[in-house]
Amino acid sequence: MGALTDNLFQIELLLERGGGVLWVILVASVLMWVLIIERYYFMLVVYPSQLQRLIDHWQQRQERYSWQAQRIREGMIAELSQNLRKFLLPIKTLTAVLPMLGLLGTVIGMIQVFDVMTVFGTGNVRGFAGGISVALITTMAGLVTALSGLYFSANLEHRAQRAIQHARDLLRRE
Amino acid sequence: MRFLVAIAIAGLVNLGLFLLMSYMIAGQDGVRPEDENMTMVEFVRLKREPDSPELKQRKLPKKPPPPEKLPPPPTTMPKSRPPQPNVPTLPAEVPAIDLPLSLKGTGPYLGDYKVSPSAPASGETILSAREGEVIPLVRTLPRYPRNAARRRLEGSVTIEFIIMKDGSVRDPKVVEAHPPGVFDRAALEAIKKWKFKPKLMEGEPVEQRATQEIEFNLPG
Repeated sequence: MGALTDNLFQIELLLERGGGVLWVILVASVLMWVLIIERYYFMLVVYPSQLQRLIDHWQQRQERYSWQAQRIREGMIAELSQNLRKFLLPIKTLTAVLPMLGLLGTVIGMIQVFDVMTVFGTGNVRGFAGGISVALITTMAGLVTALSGLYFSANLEHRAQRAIQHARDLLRRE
Repeated sequence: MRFLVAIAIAGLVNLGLFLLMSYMIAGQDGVRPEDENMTMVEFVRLKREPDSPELKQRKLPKKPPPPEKLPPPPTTMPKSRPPQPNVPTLPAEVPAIDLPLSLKGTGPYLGDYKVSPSAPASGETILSAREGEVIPLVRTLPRYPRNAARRRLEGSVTIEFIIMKDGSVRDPKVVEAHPPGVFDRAALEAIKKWKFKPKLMEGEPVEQRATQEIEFNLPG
């Protein structure tokens, strides 16, 4: 318990140093991870039962070669595809946005540094430290969070594509 | 429900991420004792500040010599000719000194001597006086004309000009040139960028006519 509060204090310190942009990065990162985890939950738990239900529904049909049957099949696949790809675009966008938020923090930090420079000149090295830590910490936060999401975003995309292909095969075979 | 679980796990993941980051910059926490050393640097700076004014004070007396030393290394020598408008003012002072010294013996001769020696004497004295006064403060080397450099030509140009009150050069004219016409333009362009010490008359800067010879020598 002592270790946890210590760690929380560390994070609080980090957020304090990073300034406002770091909070934005934190929120964006949490949002991205919520979507990623929801997607994995959906693909691993919810999707198989959905697929099974559709396959059962498809197999109950008497004929599966008429024009209407083909349209219904397409409709089923489209529904599955829509479900699978639901949050993929927001996730991709967030992974792209996070490094940019980091850059924004860099710029804001450097502006702080130059503000200090205009008032105190180049002699006050301590004055620069605040702005520079904002710049560097936000940059690092943006990069680390984006990197953490990048693999999962690509992996989810791949999984969705494969699942759609698989569903199409299953529905055709019967 | 699904989202609640996701939010919980996402929160944990981000907790981990930010903890990782805080450990990545943990080195900065360790630096804090070294931050105290930063004050030491400030102390050094305070020590340096008194040092630098001392250095400047030593430099100040050194500054007058450089202008005197500067003229010799470049082969150009400041020469000046007695400007006609200034001549009447100075000779008026010179004879005033000479008269009582030489007057003692003979009265009538003096009238004759006064006229004849004054002209050469004034020329010399003014020359020497001017040479002391025309001190170039800023000298830019003239661009060696490419044509002349290719033909291995060397020469000199004498330029007459007016030193303005702020020391800059006005209305330069070529008086003499050896060989004629080759170095004129380069010399004129160069002299316009020179700065001279303005002549002081009764503590105020006055415009002054001067001549300057610029020599063009090929290196090596």
